[in-house]
Amino acid sequence: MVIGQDPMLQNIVKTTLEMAFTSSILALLFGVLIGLVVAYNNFPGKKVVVVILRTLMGLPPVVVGIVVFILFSGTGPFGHLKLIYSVELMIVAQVVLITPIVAGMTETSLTPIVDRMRPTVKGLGLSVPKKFFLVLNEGKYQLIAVYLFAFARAISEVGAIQIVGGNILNKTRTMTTAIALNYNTGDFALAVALGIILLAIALGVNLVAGLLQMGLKKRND
Amino acid sequence: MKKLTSLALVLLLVLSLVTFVACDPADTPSAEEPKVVRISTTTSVNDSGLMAYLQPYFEADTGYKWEIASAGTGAAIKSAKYGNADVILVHSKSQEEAFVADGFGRVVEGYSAERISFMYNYFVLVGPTADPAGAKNATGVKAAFSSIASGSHTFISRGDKSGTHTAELKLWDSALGLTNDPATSATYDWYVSAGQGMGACLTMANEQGAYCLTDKATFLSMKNHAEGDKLPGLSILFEQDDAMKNTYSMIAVNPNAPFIDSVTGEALPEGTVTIDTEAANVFINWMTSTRASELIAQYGVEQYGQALFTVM
Repeated sequence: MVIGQDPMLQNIVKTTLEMAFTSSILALLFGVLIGLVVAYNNFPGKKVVVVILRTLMGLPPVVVGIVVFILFSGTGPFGHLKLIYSVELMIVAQVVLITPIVAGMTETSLTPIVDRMRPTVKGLGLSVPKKFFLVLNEGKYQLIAVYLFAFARAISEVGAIQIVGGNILNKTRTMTTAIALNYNTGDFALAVALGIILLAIALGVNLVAGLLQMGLKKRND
Repeated sequence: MKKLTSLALVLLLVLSLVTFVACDPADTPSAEEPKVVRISTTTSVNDSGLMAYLQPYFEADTGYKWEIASAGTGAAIKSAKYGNADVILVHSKSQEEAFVADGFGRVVEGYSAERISFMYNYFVLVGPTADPAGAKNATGVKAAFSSIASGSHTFISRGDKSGTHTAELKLWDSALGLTNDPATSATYDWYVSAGQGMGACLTMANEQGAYCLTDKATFLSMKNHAEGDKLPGLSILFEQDDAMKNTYSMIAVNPNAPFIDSVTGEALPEGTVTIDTEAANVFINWMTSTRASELIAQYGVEQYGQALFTVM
């Protein structure tokens, strides 16, 4: 099976990558911001917010899928947007799923950095955006790991995107929903082959991230 | 702080213990292992609710328990080829005949052939009540399908090599070039290959105002759902054409069949697979008994005002 010669497979891989990169990057933006705000500020009820974030990290994908489906289906409050069974709506569902994971992991990994830096930052009297930037800069190494987790989650998800995307051939079919379908049709060999391609993509992304982390470490040493 | 940590650990331990106890099967193994018949069937048989309805009667009458694995017809037959079933119950004639031709079927005593057809119903063409393609007034089901294609009205296909998908493909004009292989099949903007089960496809057709071929049982069960009509935008537009007849058959699995390894796809050495032929016989004899025929003929009458299956 060669990707280059099979337009159906090309489309599946393209949809998968578009969905996984867009949703993981959006979730990274939202999640890091939330995680950073929670990690940096001490406010009443902070512990409750952290517990809520960590609980949301375990959101079951099918539940998110069904809720997003109901909201965006014809009779739902956002039905007029006509986003049902589209890659865009798959990205929406993924962002809902992954943002709490990014936020929770960011909070956990940035809190020790924030605690360490607080006296210095206070002494310098920096503006809020500058303070945040400084913390993020210190936490780069950890944030790469957080992104990798977000990407892994995005590319391996099947329950939510099957519901809101509909697994439509040449439109919303991704590698995971194609694998699930191939199980149902009994085409196990094709399912395993797709699984191998999926792993290869994940490996590629991890290698790039690993190199980035190595580069950062060297600079810091 | 130390106190807090130990408290958390104790809590975690208690939680996991509770989970463990809750998961522990309450029934300790009885002195006599219950006899089991393993059935591989398709989603549409299972989703119609027929098997769940018959199960208590079967188990009370025979003393056997049944274990049903349901997947698309393709996977249901594959599963039997791996030695995971004593009997299959499916609705795709060509695939059943291939299964028998490959040596996987067994003639049960008292029957003339491996493939035992015992009940049928009709597929129905459903679509938007306004019916822009005019399928309702077509002279036959093939004419109805032609009008959908020529007007490029959205059609949701199962696209999963299921019995329903196979039946649908036979209703299109062959010049369209639609096949069950997504890699080589022709593609059209109006032809949506969903690759999902019957319920998901009907939901999609309802959302998109599209046409869809479905078994009547699944359609009616969603139309008359306890929570209200799940498919308010869809109506039955065409039914009762001979080309839409949907026949269900059972095949007992041959214990000496050339079973294959699910991982390598190679032949399994003889004796690796154990098939309970007695269990398969009990199941087939019960399903064709007068008792079961009466039960099947009653199924759906109370809930939908009409029988969903006709016994042959």
